[in-house]
Amino acid sequence: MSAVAITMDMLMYTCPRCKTCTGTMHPGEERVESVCPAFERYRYFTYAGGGKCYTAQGLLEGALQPDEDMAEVIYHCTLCKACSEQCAAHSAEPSEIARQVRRELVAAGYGPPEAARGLVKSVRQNDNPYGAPRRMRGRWARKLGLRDAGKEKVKTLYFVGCTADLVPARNHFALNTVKLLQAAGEDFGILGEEEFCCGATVFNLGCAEVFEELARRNIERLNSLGVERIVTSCAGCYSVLAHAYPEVARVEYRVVSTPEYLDEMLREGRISPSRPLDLKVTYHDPCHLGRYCGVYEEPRRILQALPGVELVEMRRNREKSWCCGAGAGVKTSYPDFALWIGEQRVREALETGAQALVSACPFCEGNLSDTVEALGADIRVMDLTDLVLQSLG
Amino acid sequence: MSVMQSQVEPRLAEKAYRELVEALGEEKVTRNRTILFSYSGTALPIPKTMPDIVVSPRSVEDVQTTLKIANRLVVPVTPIASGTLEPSVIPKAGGIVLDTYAMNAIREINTDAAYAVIEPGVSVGKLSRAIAPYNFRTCLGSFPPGNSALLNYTLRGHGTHRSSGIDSEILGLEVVLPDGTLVETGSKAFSQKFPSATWHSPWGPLPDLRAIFLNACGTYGVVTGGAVRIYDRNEVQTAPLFAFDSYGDAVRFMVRVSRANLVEHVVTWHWGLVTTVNVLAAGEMEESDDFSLLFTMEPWQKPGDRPYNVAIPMYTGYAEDVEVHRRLLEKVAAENGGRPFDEEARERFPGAWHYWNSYAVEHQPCTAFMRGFAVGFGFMQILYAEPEKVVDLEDWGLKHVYNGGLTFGTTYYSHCIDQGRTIFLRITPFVDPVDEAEHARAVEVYKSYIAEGMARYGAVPVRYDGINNYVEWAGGFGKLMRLIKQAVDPNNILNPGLRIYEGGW
Repeated sequence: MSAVAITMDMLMYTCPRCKTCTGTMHPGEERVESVCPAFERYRYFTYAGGGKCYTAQGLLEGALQPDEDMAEVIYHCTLCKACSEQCAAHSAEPSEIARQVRRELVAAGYGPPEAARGLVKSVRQNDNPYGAPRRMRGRWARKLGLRDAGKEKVKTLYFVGCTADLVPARNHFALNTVKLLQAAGEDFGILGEEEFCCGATVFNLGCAEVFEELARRNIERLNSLGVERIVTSCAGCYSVLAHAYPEVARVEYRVVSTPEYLDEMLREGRISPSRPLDLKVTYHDPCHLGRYCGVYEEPRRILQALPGVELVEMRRNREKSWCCGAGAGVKTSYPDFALWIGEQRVREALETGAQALVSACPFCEGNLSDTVEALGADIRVMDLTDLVLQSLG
Repeated sequence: MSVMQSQVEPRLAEKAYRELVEALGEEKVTRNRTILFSYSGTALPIPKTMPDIVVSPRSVEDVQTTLKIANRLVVPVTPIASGTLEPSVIPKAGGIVLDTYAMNAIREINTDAAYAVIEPGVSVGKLSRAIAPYNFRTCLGSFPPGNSALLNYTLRGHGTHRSSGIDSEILGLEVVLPDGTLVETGSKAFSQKFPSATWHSPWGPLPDLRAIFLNACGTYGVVTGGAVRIYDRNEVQTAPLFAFDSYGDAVRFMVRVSRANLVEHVVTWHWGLVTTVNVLAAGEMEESDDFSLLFTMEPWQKPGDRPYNVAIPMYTGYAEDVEVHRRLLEKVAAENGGRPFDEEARERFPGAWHYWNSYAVEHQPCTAFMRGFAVGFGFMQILYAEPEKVVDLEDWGLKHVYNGGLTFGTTYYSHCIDQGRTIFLRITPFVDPVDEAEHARAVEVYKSYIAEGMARYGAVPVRYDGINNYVEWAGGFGKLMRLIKQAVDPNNILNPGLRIYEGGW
C-alpha cells in the first residue's frame, strides 16, 4: 500500500457477494433492473461494487499490486454510485472504494488511463480539462455585461464550470442560467477568466494531490469573495463544491444546483413560466446531482410546473437511475463503452414515448446527445434550463 | 489474509488460456489478475486461492467447449454462479473458474405445471419478480435476491415445503459433463427421442440421477439450466408468531404442527437472531444497546425480557381454512408451553417483524440480514438431527461454539424438515472479518462441532464444505461416490479442491 490508506471500515471485508449492488433487488421492487453499467457490460463480478471491495482487499493484503489489469477494471467504472445505493450490507461505499483504488493506481503510475492523462495535464496547465487557454474563459459572456464577482461584491456567484464555459455545444447551460438568474432578479456575478476548474475530473480520476491543491486554491478564492451562495449548472461541479471541498478545508458559502435554485425561485414566485410547451418529456437523473447530492424531486417539480409539459418516468429513475455513461473519465478513456451505456439509457427513454430526454448536467447531455446521434434516435436531448427559459416566453 | 497460489503449472495454464480465447473469444475469457483475485475466495474464513483463468460462458455450447478443453488438457474447473459464502466456490486447485452467472435466461414459466425453466444466472429476485404477475411465488428461502436461484436450490437446506417432505426445489437439471455430454434428468431425459417431453416430473422409469448433482458443488457436472418448482400465491399467506421459553418446547411444537399438516413450513429462531435481525432491519446496529445483548449474555441463557425462541409457522390457503389453522396452532402452542407473539413482536421487534412478513408472507427475497455479513456473519454450521437429539445438540452446540474462543456472539435458527423426521440446526458464530487467528480458531471450532455433533447426536451435515472429508467418512457410500466420479470425471477436473476423488488431476 502506498500513500493513500484504504481504511478498514471501507473495505466491506465480508461482502457476501450477494450482487444486490448490481440491481434493484430489494424487497418490494416490482422487477429486477440492472443499475451497474460495468457489471452489465462485462459480467465479471470484479466490475460490480462488491468486486471493488475485493480489489481493495487484495491491495491492502498485498495479494494485488497496482498494475494495468487493475486499472483496466477500476477505470471502467463511471463512479455512478448506484452500487453504494443498492448495497444490502450498507457497510461501505463501493464507489468511494473505487475512487480510493484509483488513487493507489495514480500513485503507482498506472492511472489515469492514457487517454485521460491529457485532461489532468490540462487541468494543471490551463485550469480546465479541455486544453483551452485561460483567455478563452468567459468568452460566451463577454457581450452580456455581467458583473465580475472577483471585483465587486455580489450576493450570488454563478460558478459556470469548464464544460458550459469552454465547450461551445454546452454554452447554452451558461447562457440559460444567466438569463434565469436575471429573470429572477438575482444579485449575481461570475468570475470569467478567473474561474478555475472545480477539480471534479481529477478528483474522480484519482489524482488526489492535484485535486487537493486545486481545491485549496479554489476554497481560498471563493471564501474571499464573501458571497452568500454559489449557483452552479454543472452536476459535477456541484457535487465536488458541495461535498468534496468541505473535506479539504472550511467553506464559507452555500452551494446550490440550478434545479434547486429554480425550484426555489418558482416557489417564491420570482419566475413564472406561462408559455405552454406541448411536450412529453422524461427526466434523466445525473448521478452527481441525484445519488451524490440527493437532488431528485426539485427537477421534477420544475418540469411539472411548466405549462404543457408532461413528465413520464423511465423505469429506472431517482436512486435507481442508470448512468449516462460519461462520468469519471469513461467518456474519454473508453468512448465505445460510454456510448454503450448511453444507448441503454436512450432506449429506455424511447420506451416512454417522450419527445425529449431532459437532464441537468452538461456531461450527461454530451454523452446522451452523442448516443442519440449515433443511434439516429427520434428524441431531443435538452437541459432543464432550456425548457424553463422557453416557458418563460 | 493468506492467498494460495494455483497448483496448475504455468505453461499448462497458458495453453488453456490460448485455446479458450481462440474458442470463445476474449470477451468471455480473462486472466486479468484483479479479476482472478475477486474469484479467489469469499468472506468465509477459508484461505483464498488464485485461479489462473476466469471464463464467463453465455450459452450451453460455451460450457461444453470450456469443459472439453479443460478435460483434454486436464485443468481444474470450479463452476460457480451465485458466488456467495459456500466453500465450494473457492478454486482450491487453481485452474479455471467457470462463472455461469452471465447465463441468465428464464427459458419458460409453466403456469400449468407450476415450474420455471431457468439458467444458473437467474437470480432469486429476478425469478420472483418474473413469476409474480402470474400469481406465483418462489419457495421460502432467506437467501439474498442476487443469488442464483437454481444453484441455491441444488444445495440442501433450501425449500419451502420441507414440512411435507420436499428438501429440493429442483424438478430437473440440465448438466454438462466433463466430456461435453449434455444430460437432462427426470421426464426431460426423453426429449431427444420424444421432443414433447417436458420437465414436469423429477422421476421416470430410470434411477433418479438428478440427486448426484444436488449438493455436489459442481463435482459431477456443470449445471447449465433446470426446472424449479414455483408455487401458487393462495388467497391468504400468513406467518403467525409464537413464543417459547425453551428450544425443546419449540421443537415439539414444530414437529406436531408439521405432522398435523397445519403448516407448509415452520422455523424457530433463537433470541439472539431475533435481536440481531431486528437491529439489522432497522439499520441501527452501531447505536443499539439491544444489539450488545448478544455479546454480553451467554446464548443458552434465557433473557428476562424476551422469549428464548420464536417459532414462525408459515402457511397459505383460503381465508376460512387459514383462520381455523390459526386457532389450532394456538392450541398446539399452548400444549407445548408456547403463546402467540404477533402483537408483541410487531411492537417490540418491528425490524424482525417486518423481515418475517416480507419473507414469509410476501415471499420477498430478503436483504435485511445482509448487513450482518458485513460485520462478521462468517461461519454457519448446519447439522440435521432427530427431534429429541437436536434439543441436546442445541444445548451442547451453543456452549461448544460460544466457548471456542471466538470473539463474537453465537445464535441460530432451526427448520423442521420432512414433518419432523429431522431438524435443521444452524448455529452461527460471528467471526471477526480481518482477524486471521480468529479465522483459524473458527475453522477448528467448525471441525470439532461437526465431528462431535455427528458422534454424540447422530447428526449429519447437509452441505459439502471441503473442510471435512465426508466421502472418506461415508464408508461404502463414499466408495460409490468415488466410483461414479471416476466414471464421469476420470481426470478429476471438476472442483478437485473438494477432494471427492483423489486420483486424476
